[in-house]
Amino acid sequence: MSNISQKRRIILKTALASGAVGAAMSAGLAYTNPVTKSKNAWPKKAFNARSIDDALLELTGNSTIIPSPKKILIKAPTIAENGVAHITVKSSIPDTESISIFIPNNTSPLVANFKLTPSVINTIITRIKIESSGEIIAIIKANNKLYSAMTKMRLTVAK
Amino acid sequence: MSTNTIEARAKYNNGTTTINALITHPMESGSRIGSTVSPHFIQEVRCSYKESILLTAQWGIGMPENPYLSFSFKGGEKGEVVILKWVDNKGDSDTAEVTIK
Repeated sequence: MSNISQKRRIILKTALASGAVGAAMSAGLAYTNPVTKSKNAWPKKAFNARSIDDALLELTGNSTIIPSPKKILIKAPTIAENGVAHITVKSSIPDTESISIFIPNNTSPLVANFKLTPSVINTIITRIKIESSGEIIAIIKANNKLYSAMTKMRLTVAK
Repeated sequence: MSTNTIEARAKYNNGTTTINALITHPMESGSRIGSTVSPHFIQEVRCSYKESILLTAQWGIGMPENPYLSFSFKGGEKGEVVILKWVDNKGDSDTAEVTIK
């Protein structure tokens, strides 16, 4: 009897697992990349997280941040007109693996996560949307440690 | 999606190649007050050179309409190609081959 129920569990588990994969495929979250042919799902939980700590845990498995304003340079205007601003994040930390931009006041604090390969120079220039005046935090992952820097931005005209 | 959503340039200078890309996309967050539009935004942008990934950008709803991205990498040569590809939450995608100048 126990043998049968065990089998049943295994069947159920595999069915559930394949169902989940199928759902992800149909939602277009998992796709085959022509370059490496590897599947790389978008970190949905990290983007849905309401706090930086939760998002970081999902993204990197770690949420201990070392503040290092001298090693990370954020170039951004102090005023964001119409809620959009140009931002440059420059890291002088060796072996920078990823650069993430967080805005704690936004509905989804994680704005963007850039995964860099060693040949990429540790600078990212992009544009971000700001929902209200407040902090903008850049977090750099290097050698399994997280480093952060912060800047403040004021919002002038909302949409 | 309409064709040619990626407007990109790749410029080689003194050992490094700089890529500038502007993508035409609504980047709809789906959370505007009084709006019932469903979210529609780019989730991932991949840049590759010589069949290996250079940079993967994962974006959320905090990225604005027509997002912009710029970065540089060591190496590259004039005439070679950098490939940019984006995929959004509805499964739409576009790919561009950019020749380094």
